[in-house]
Amino acid sequence: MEGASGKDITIYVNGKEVKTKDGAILLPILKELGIKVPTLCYLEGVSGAGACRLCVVEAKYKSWSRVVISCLYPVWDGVQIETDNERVHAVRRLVLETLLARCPNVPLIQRLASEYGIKKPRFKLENHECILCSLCVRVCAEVVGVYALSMQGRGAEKVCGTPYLGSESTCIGCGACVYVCPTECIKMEDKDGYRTIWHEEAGVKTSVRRFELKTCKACGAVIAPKYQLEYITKKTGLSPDYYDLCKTCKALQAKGLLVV
Amino acid sequence: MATEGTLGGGQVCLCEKVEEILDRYNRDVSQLISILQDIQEDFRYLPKEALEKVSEALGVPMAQVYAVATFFKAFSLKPKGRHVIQVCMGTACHVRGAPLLLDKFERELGIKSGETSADLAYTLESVNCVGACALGPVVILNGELEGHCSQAKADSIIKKVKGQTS
Amino acid sequence: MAMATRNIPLIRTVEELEKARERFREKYYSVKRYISVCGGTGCRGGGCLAVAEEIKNVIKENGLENEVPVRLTGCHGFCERGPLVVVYPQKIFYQKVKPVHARKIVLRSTMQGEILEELLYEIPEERKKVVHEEDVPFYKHQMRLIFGMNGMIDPENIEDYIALGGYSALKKALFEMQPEQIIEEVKKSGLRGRGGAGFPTGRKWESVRRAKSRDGIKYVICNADEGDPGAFMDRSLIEGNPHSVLEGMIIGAFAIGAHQGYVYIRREYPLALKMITRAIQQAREYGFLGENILGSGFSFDIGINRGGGAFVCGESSALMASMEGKVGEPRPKYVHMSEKGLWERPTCLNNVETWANVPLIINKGADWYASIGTENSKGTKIFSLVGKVNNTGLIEVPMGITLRQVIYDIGGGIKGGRKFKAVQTGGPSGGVIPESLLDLPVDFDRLTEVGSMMGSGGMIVMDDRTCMVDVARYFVNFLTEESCGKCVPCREGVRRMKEIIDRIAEGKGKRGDIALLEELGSAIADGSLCGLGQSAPNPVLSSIKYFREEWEAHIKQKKCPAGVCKELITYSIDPEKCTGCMACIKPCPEQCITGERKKPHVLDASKCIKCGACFDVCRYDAVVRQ
Repeated sequence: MEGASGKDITIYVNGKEVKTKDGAILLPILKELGIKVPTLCYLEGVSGAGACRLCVVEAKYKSWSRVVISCLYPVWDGVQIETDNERVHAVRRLVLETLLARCPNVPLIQRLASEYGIKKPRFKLENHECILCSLCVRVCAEVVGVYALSMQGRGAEKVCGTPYLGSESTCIGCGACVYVCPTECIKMEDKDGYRTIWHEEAGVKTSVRRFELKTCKACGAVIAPKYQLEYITKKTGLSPDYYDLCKTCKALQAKGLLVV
Repeated sequence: MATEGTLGGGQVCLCEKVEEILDRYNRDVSQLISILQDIQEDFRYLPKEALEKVSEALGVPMAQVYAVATFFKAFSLKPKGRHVIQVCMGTACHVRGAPLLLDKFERELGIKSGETSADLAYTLESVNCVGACALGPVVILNGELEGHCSQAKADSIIKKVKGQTS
Repeated sequence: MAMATRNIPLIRTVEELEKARERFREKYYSVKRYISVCGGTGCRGGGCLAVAEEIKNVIKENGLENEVPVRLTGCHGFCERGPLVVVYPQKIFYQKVKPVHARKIVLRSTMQGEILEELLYEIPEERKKVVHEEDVPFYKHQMRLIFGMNGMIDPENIEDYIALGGYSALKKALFEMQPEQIIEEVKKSGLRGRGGAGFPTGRKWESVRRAKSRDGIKYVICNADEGDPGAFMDRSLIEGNPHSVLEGMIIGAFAIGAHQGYVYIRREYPLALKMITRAIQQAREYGFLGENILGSGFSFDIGINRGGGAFVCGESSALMASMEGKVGEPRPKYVHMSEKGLWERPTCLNNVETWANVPLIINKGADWYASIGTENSKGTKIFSLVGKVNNTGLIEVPMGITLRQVIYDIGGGIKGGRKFKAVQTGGPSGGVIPESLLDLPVDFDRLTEVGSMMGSGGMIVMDDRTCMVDVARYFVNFLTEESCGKCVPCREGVRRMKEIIDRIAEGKGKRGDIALLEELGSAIADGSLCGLGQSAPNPVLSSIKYFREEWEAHIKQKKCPAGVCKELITYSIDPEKCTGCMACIKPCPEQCITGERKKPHVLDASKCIKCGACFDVCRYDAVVRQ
């Protein structure tokens, strides 16, 4: 296929005519049409991995057809998309059944799988919680810019975490990975002046990072890990004492209602 | 059983060696695999300090260097043995009995494929087809190809790595 | 990267090239007699270096250095019979040569033209000895357009290549053709990618030429990451005739508008790496790489990248990712590598053999090339014919030849006179082909139609002692280990197929297993991100398609008819065949065999660990596995 031109085209979604632009990505179009497409590794604002294969649909044209992932598929003039036929559902069921066998105790996977009629996988059950979607890796690398995590190893032995799954990494303790993890296997705890972030699976903790928390000089509220704030002030050129006060106290100080 | 290795010779020596290797490839990030391979060859594994040096020198995040180090079969994060026995697992060697040969090595060397002996004397591993299919089953001992490896030939390899030959 | 020893290339214009060619030709042909010793990896494993050394010693001892050059060449192809030595000009073909034969080869055969009967190849059924290479049945039925030069040139000496016509296609391309013309010619020839997928090469070149690069930079890459187990064609091409590959790349780069190329070569090929490094060095020294090649105004250079030991890096996007210092994970190719490839620039990636076909097409023309082969598969293909066949080695045949011709006329039939069972093509992406389809013409589309594929060229022949469940198990095991792990269908699906097949091979198969494998296979093929996963079910599904009874025997009767699956077989000694030679008693690690000399031995199956040592050593076929 030659480069996308961006010109006006017509595609067909489940038989319905849709006007769009050449090269536009399919998933947002489907969302706008109100069509429900399951996803696991997709997040707006972060590069697509194409890893979970849950958002599959079938693209057809005359005698040609192909199962494609809607999160990364650029549409072209005349293409016919079917979002919920047997071929598409067979792939989604494969993904969900094997993920459920891998992570039988993860509520999100249990729910998605049962939506497709899968209650008990026909394979040996394991005890993972991480589905290797790489959202944490991509968010850390692209949004936070710190690249503390990576997918390590190959094949089924793949694991996600910090180098050596240890506590040495460039992680600044911001917790973005915790927020994006779909199965909640990345955990965070702020306690007694310290923040701990770690990956937990079947009770085993890896990639454990511990940060001293910075508290507001005035009211003592927790702001964020000291390390994270130092990173931000250094990178943005703000003065090192920029985060000495929490947002509330800063506002009060600005109004002259607070003396430190 | 596999063991953690220690790096003798001190940190200074490692830094120098790694710098030399980085220069050899013009500190080109597209040569990352070759750089790591040369480090692997020199140290028989990839020391953590070496990976950190490479990350710094190439401007590649440590997490990425570590991911590459664990993705490719060429690399080992634990030291390999002085002798490396590789059994070719290509299809032609397979139909000529390679799996039974690997079993024999595992049995008599007391380690599983992919492991190194506790005294770091030898490492046993399977390797993807080396392209000498007419000579199957193929075993490579320290880079030297042993074709038509019968059980008897395997015996002499085992004796050699255990230090039992004259 | 090594620096060229000369900064000024030896050959700077077309006139200088032709003058040099004349000089090299004269030199090459001035000495009619020479000895070609096969130095391919296979023969090296068989001791050919010692043979070459001894031949050189004898020549030196007798002061014949100027009269009889020795060329340590690349692979000659007939690996089963190595070490191979061919005496020129008569092309007397000697096989299974040992250092002790060196003296007579030099003094009697080369110098005096004597034919050494004991080293000749003998056609088994006819008990007839063959003198000349081209009469050896293995070679007679081949069409060695690409591979033929291997035996005649020293791969470390570019002058041999030039003497025999090398770099004349480059001259024609640079000075007698326009880039678009070159692309048209390649399109017209019908050349399809030799790496496995068979994509039309000319079309690929055209799309890279047309693609827009953000800064005008485009790349050509040679994929030498030959990962299919059992395939070693590319290795032998690079070891034996690296310049043919380089010449193809330079022509392609000129046609596409690229000024930088790379050879990505797997680490398991140290000799090939050495040869291509040397060839690039020499190409630079002589002026075929670098600035203003032959005065054409076109500049181009080639770098080398080594693989790290990952089959998936044979996939183009994974290969390019690893060249960017990342892990070798493929990406979805809805936007092709020809648009956004290496470093997001238009990239043309082709297989070694594909590049090697290019000079031939330019020199002899697309029409000539298209006259060879079938309607949709033009030209020749190099295959590695291995496994349970008599004549293992590398063969080059026109597309359209039948499997039967390959296995019987060239391959010499099944080893040990056993029965043919199946031939596996396409490696881990391909499938098994049974006896009923032996008259199938070898062709991209025909092989795909029957559930296999051409692949890179591995052809593994199997006999009645090969278990088809075990073959499927072998391939899913391989793919489970080699899967990059990024996408769920491949990472999770393929290893669950392995789980089921392992159970079946161990006698724990259950009803519904075959249906489940078929269901999984279909969804994995549809849902996987890259070719590895998409074709992973092929070996399993084709095995089930053609050998269903064997699968059912494993599942229902818990039996392995071929006598391979360990948990399902028992070892025993046939008292009728046992001669009582006692050879099997000592090798048994569990001391299960008892017996006296000249009396049939007895194997205690309860202690037997099925290691196969006794089977291996018995010369009377008395050890039974069933």
